[in-house]
Parts: sequence; structure tokens; C-alpha cells
Amino acid sequence: MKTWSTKTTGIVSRWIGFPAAMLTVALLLPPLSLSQSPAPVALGSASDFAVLASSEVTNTGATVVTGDLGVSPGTGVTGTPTVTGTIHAGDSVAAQAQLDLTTAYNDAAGRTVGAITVAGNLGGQTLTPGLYTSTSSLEISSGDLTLDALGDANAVFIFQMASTLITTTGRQVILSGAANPANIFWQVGSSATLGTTSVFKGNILALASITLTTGAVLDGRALARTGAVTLDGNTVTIPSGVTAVEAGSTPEGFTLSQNYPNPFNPSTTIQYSIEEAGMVSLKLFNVLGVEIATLVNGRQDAGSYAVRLDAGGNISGITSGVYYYRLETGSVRSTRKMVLLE
Amino acid sequence: MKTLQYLVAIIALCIFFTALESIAQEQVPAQKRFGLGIIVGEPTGLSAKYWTSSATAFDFALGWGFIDENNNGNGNGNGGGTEWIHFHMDYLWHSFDAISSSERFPIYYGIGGRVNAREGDNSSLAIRGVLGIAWMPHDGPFDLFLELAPSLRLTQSTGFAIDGGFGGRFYF
Repeated sequence: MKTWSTKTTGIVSRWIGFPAAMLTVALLLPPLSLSQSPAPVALGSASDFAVLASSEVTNTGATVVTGDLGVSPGTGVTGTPTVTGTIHAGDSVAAQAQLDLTTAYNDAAGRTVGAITVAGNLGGQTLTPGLYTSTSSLEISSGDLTLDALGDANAVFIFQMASTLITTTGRQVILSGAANPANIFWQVGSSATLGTTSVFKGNILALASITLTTGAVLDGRALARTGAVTLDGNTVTIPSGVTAVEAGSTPEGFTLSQNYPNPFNPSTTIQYSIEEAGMVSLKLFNVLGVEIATLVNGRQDAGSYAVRLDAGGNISGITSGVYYYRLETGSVRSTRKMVLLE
Repeated sequence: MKTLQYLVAIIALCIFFTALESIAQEQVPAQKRFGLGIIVGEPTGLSAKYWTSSATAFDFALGWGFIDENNNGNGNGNGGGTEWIHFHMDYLWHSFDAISSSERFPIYYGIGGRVNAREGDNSSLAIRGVLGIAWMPHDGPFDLFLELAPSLRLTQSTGFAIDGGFGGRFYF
């Protein structure tokens, strides 16, 4: 009886165990390969802000901020930067944005799948979409950093670092292969400092403070959870393109929201949600039905998204008037009206 | 002969408004600006529209008119017959934002001229104002419209009448 049992066990382990092991490996492989480009970090209402601080925003020099500027729970905005969006100094909008920033920060910090370990200086490297993690600080100090999206405008880069993010004088983040600053996230465990005249791309989500020294240019967002944002003759511009608002959730139904603000000048945001993954197109038409711009055209996962439209920025050559935007996915479509006032 | 003079006058008006438009210098997308269809009412016949910008257009109609304006207008009772050849041309301005809807429901208004012609020397020239509403579906190159056009007759004798109709056009 014992011999029979042993034989049986041997047969099972040889003829079933091996295929089962192969099947297990096969099932594990797809997640590993998909992990090359993580899902975007959902910024929620913080996506409206080019600059968001906790204690205060201080500025010297001629800083231009395209997008909202906010402080919460502090209220101080000093130095009168030029802001093309709205200044929310300690109001409920800024408070909500801070809550959403905390959620986004924790999301970015909690990613682990497919993480690639990096350390120290990223300058001189070319990186492809993925999750990069450092147990200490990161800097761009010797040579520029190139981020290559390999032709996929929806590709995502997430950088996690336990302490500081620093760029030294004149260093740049260079984008190639259709990389979109809206899909680049820097989760900074302490504070971030962009060096004089450096050019940086992406959303900085810092636990403490963010400092842009003289003449630094940020094509992205400076979002500080517990500290200040310090500006000095900078240009900070919210990236155009699609930002995930609620990644990972499955909205009930297909919705296209009214853009806000509306009427607008020069920029506005369109939010929408799609129930199932698929090809999505969002296009802008004039009153005669002539297509003015394609805002989104590609495959997207189910979720809620926000698209920022900037007359003179990503959408050039449009004048005052009524426009219509149409969202299409699968067999459903929806159209809404917007008004540009100059 | 007078009809010919009226047509010349209308063509001169066309040229005037075209000149105005060229001053505006707006770049108009060169597709689906011209629509052709029908109008039912006063008049009943062919209707055409040519968009010159995203807010302005010429419209034209050529058809039959049925209202005996001499009898209905100043009541002098010397109208000769009940059918007219009606031609009008208007210059229109559109407001796509007057009605709050995600559909395209422009309210339009404008001014123009009208010739009513019939046998003999009974043709007349009028100026007219136009007020209307259109529906331009997002999904098709056509429109539907409903309009009223108060008209002031200038020749034969002065008189007031209200033209109006509804119709649709296909855009090329």
C-alpha cells in the first residue's frame, strides 16, 4: 500500500507538477512584462494646480505660473508671481487639493511592482517608462537626464526617493519618444530643489518643501505636502495632455463633464470617464463642425481622466467663440459646448 | 427692366458685404461651407447658404411667393395675380451661445433684400430683416431652420409684409 502510494505521488509530481509549475510561470509573466509602464498617479483636484504648498508660497523675481496656485492650511502668498490661473490662499479648494495630493503621494510611494533600483546621479542616462526607486536621494548633477517614452504618449514614469531631489545649475530633463510631462511623477521623501536655470519635467510630489532657484523652468507641477514652495524668476506650466483623476476605479457609465472654467481664457479642463477600456477619442470642433484639434486619441483603461486645453499652448490659433468637444469610445459618444473669451 | 435693376442692386449689396467680410480677414475652414436645400413658406423653393466665417453667412432663396402683397400690404387692391417669383438674399450673423445646449442651435439675424417679380411691370423691391433659429446636428452635414423676415416694400408702393418659412439644407 505504501509502495503504491509512493508511486502515485511520483507520477503526480512528474506529470502534473511540471506542467503546473510551467503554468504558474506563464501566469506570472504577463504582470512582469506589463509592469514596464505603470499606471499614472491620480492627482485628483491637485491636477489643477501648478504650484501647491502647505505653509506658504514665496516668490522673488518675475515668476510666471500657468495653472492654479494654492496654499493650505497656510495662507501666505508673497512676492506677487504672475498667475494665469486662480490663487487659492487657504481656501477650501486648496484644502481639497492637499487631501488629494496626500492620496496621490501615498499612491506613488506605495508602488512596488516592477521597481527598478536607482541611486545618486541620474544625469547622462536615458530611461524608459517604468517605476524607479531610490532608498536615499536622487539628483541630476552631471549631464542631463533623458526620458524616452518609446513613442507612447501615455507611457508613465514614476520616480520614488526616500529623501531629496536635486538638480544642479543648468541641468535638464529632456523628453523624447512622445514622453508627456503630465505622466512623469517624482515622489520626493523630503524636499526638492531645482538648480539655477535648470529645466525640469514632471509632477513633483514632495513630502516637505520645493525650491525653484533663479530662472529654473518647470514643465509640470510643484506640489508640496507639508512645507513651502519657494520661487525665484521661474516659469511653471501645468503640462497639457491627459491626467488620470481616479485611476484604478471603474466608473459607472460613460460621462463627459462640462469643462471648467467655462467661458475660459486661456485654459480650461475637460473631465470624462469611461466604463470599459478601449479606443478613446476626444476632439475639438468649431461651430461649423470643422475639427480644430485632437485632444485624445488612443487606448485608455477604464477610469476618470482630465484633459487640460490651453489656447495658445497645446491648442494654438483658436479665437474667441463657441467650440464643441466630442468624446467617443466604442459605440457611445457625447458632445458638449465651450466658450473661449479673449 | 426694373427687375433687372433690382437684381443689379442686390448683387451690389452682395459685393458690399463680401468686401466687409474681407476686412474681417477671418480664416474660414474650407470645407462644408455651402448648403443647398428647400424652404417652405413665403417663399417656397430653393434655399442656399454660404458661410463666410464661423458666425456669418449669406443666405439665398429662389422660389414662388403666394402672398398678394398689394392686397395684403397697403390694401389698394391693384395686385395682378397671386404668384410671384421671389428672390432674396440676406447677410446673417449667428449666435451659437444664445441657447444653452450642447446641440448646435444658433439664433441668427440679419438684413437683406428681396425681389418679387411677375409678368408685366408689377415687380417690387423690398428690404428685409431676418430672425431665425437653426439646428445643425453634430452628426450630419445638414441644417434645419425656421425664420421670419419682416419686409418693407420700397417700390410700386411702400408696404409692410412678413415673409417666413422653414426648411433644410445639405452642406457640401
